[in-house]
Amino acid sequence: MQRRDLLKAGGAAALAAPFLHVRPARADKGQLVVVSWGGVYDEALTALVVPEFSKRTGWSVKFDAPPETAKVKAMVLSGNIGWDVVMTDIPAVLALVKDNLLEPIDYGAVDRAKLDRIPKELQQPYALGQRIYSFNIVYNTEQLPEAKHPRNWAEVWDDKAFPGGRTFNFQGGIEPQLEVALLADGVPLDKLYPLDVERAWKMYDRLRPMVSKWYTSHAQAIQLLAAGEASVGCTIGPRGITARRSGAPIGVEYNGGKLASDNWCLVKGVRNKAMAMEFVNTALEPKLQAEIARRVPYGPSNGGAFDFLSAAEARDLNTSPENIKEQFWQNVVWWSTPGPDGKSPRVAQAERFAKWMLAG
Amino acid sequence: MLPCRVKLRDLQEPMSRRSLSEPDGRVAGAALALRGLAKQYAGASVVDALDLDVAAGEFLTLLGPSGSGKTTTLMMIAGFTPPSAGDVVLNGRSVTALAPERRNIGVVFQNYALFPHMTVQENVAFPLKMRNVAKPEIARKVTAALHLVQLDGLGARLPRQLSGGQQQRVALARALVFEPDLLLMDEPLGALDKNLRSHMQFELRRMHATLGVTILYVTHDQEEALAMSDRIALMNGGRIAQLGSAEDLYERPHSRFVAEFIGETNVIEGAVAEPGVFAAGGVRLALPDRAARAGAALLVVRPEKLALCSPADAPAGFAGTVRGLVYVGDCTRYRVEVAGGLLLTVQTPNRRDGRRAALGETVGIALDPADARLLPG
Amino acid sequence: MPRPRVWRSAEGLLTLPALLFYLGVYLYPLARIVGWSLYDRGPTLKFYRAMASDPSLLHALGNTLSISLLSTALCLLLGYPLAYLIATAAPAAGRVLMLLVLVPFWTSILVRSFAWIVILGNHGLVNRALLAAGLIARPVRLLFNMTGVQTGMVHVLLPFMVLPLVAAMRRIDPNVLRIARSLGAVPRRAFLHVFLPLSLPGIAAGGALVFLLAVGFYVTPALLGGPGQITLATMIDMEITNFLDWGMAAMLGVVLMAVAGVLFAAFGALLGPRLVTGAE
Repeated sequence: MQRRDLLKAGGAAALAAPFLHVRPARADKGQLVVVSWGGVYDEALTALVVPEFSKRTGWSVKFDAPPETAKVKAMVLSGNIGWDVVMTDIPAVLALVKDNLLEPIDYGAVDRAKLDRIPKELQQPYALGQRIYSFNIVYNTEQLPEAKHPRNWAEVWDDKAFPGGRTFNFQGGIEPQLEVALLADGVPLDKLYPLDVERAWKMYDRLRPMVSKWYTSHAQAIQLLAAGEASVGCTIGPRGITARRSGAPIGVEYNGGKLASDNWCLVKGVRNKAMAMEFVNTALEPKLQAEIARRVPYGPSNGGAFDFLSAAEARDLNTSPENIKEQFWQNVVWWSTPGPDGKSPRVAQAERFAKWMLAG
Repeated sequence: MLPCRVKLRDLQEPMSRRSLSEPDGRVAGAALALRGLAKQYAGASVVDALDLDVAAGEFLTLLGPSGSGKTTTLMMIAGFTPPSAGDVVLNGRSVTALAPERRNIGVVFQNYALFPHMTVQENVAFPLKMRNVAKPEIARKVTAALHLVQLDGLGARLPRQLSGGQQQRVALARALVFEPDLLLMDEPLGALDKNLRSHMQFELRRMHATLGVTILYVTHDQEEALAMSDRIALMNGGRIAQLGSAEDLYERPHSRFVAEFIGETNVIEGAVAEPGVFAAGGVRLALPDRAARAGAALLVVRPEKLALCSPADAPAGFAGTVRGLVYVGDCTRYRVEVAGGLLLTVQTPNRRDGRRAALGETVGIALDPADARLLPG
Repeated sequence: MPRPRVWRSAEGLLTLPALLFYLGVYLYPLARIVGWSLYDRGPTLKFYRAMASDPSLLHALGNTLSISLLSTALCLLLGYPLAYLIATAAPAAGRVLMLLVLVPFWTSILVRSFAWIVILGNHGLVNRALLAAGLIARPVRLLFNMTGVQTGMVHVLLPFMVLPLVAAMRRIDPNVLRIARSLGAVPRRAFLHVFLPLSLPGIAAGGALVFLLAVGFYVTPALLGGPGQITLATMIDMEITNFLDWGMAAMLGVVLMAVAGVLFAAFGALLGPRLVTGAE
């Protein structure tokens, strides 16, 4: 998912991105450039994963942000590869794969025990899941108190029982939320794919008048929900948890959520593939993932992480055994398989989304 | 230098006066009166209770050094600056409360202030257009006005395509075309070079004579004032120092300021010690006016009223040494140091029979007491 | 054979660094963008055909132009009296007013846009005040529509209108205005016939500046607008981030530039003769 927050365009990311050279005693053999989304998650990686990686290899790590696909393309085209490992979302991965800009993941370089606890959906040829985000029902607890908040997508679509504006994504590289529209129309979790696109768009037609703002970034969505400009919306649940912890009147309902992953990828022509894979292998350590999830409430990709987390800590994470059951994995294959016109649903539906929006 | 020249106005030929549109010789100008007109800026008095009457059809000049209040007076008459006190009366009617556009006064500024985005024709037509004059009438009057200022055929030009003199004529045509009751001109020739200036002085006089419009003319140039005006109001410190004809101001100044501002003059500081006698140092002069009050006094006499003579023929003390000498062509000017170290300027015409003197020579200065003027000290 | 004078004079060489700079950071990237819009495994016009055949893109172009033109008009409407006030005020007061006009420059565009949500939102200052005053029964929608976009954009763009206007107005000779009055023009006609035409260079400069800046606005319409305010800049962003389709994005950029250029030229041609005479 492209959380290409507009805030980042404002330079916040540049300030937050830690350009740190970690130099433990032996960390002088080489330097890996890891590109992520910046902010607190990179700080957690720096504090937890990098020391372990450096201890094992003697290499240091430099972070860069954000992992813009356009920049990867420019690097590969120019042959001037400045990035090694990139953490990004599936749509970006698909776009990069389509243009042949990624190196395949070497699964032999990852411990067998870890792979056994990582969902199969997260083990792709060019991408290996690290942290799980999810599109969830996020609501304003002043307008919709905890006791009577929307518990499923059908209730989100019901603005009589649950009044207030809605906020859904548009722009920012996010596709329309066709899955949750179908769930709202009564399609069961396990019967979503292949998506009944026409049925989903009919639900979007019903949604349109309820939407007070089509948000362009998740930061904006949280702001709109916190300010009460919308009472409920579909945005990143972990971000809602973070906002709630900082005191915003925000609640998150995991039921019916769409799970998706940020994944480790290797840039085509990576300078030291073995070292890059070792970094990935370290980042997948269950104990480290648990520690990261404590700091930043994204779901750890390695289920083993929950062995190190309390029940209360697990409740806030979308990949906890309790929460993950109520949610579904975004079907990347369906979204990326080209149709008869040669266009993948991702492209076709995004185009349709733009047209639908402009026609409204 | 002035007296060495022929005054321009002496060359003026008498002309019949007629208005721009009325060929019957009717006088178009109005009488202007200022009654106690005053302006203060931040407590400082710029114009101080000014009283002035300008006759219909008169050419009156406000002359004075910069800061004397002449431009402020003009701005108040035009209505651009509200007076602090007093009244502007035009043709017997107070216009003090009227907006500029309702006063029917033409104004010409030194910088011409032409409308840069309009052609010459449009500039001149502007006041008529503002008065909603019919189009053919406008065309006729604009043509006549441009003819008057000798700019025939230049109507389609833009102001910046004209020379400074031509722009000045456009400004003049524009200020005259609507037959104003009064024409105010603020240093209108100030930006022109010397030759063009004297030419325009003739032109202005000619037009004034032709149209009979009342003109209030502001200048700091005394030569221009003397050459053009019917009367001159010499201003100083926001007041009128003296009002009169050019000859009045030159020959009969009421104060040292007037005497020194207009032309060149010798000022001798002294006293009337005994009836009919002025004394200053070694100088003694019997006065024709025996009634002169005793006490400190100034004796004022123009250099050209003095002549060189033998020391024996000079009045008491009016003999001394030639300290300086300048040949100016038509005349020669001497600086003569007389009794008590006083320096007097003597100007004598360069005639073959005239008396000359050399540097360091002892000479006498001849003076007819009737040509000298006694002012209170 | 005599070479052009500029190359013989040392002064001509002084412009070389600036020339190279523009060549490198402006003209070259621009040429690349034009190139991308015409190339997809060989020269092609397919991106431009897509533009012509896609009503949604034309729609976005229309939105961009209407938002920009409206912003320009509003800035002129609000900025002209403001500029007049500044230009005719006493120097000290003029400086203070000018400083106030520049206040929006002191905060980032993003902070400003977010601040409007606090002010104009359903529970924002304006709606709360109106509700408390009993003027409205339900919150008025001031955000996520054209009102929101224009509020945000005019706020940001107003200084770009006011500064050239003040400069142009200060160049007007006060004697010219006095003369107009004395020649019989009531204040309204003196303004219409003299002041307004003489301030046209300022209107043209301010208008062009605001319009061109508005055309490229991305953040404000995205944050404060609704579906009716989706601009071509938004579509360019989508082509890049959603589809990685640089050809389409480049084409949209070229089209936006061309349309803005044509409008700009038309505007110039319309005002040209007046500007030439008024610019003295």
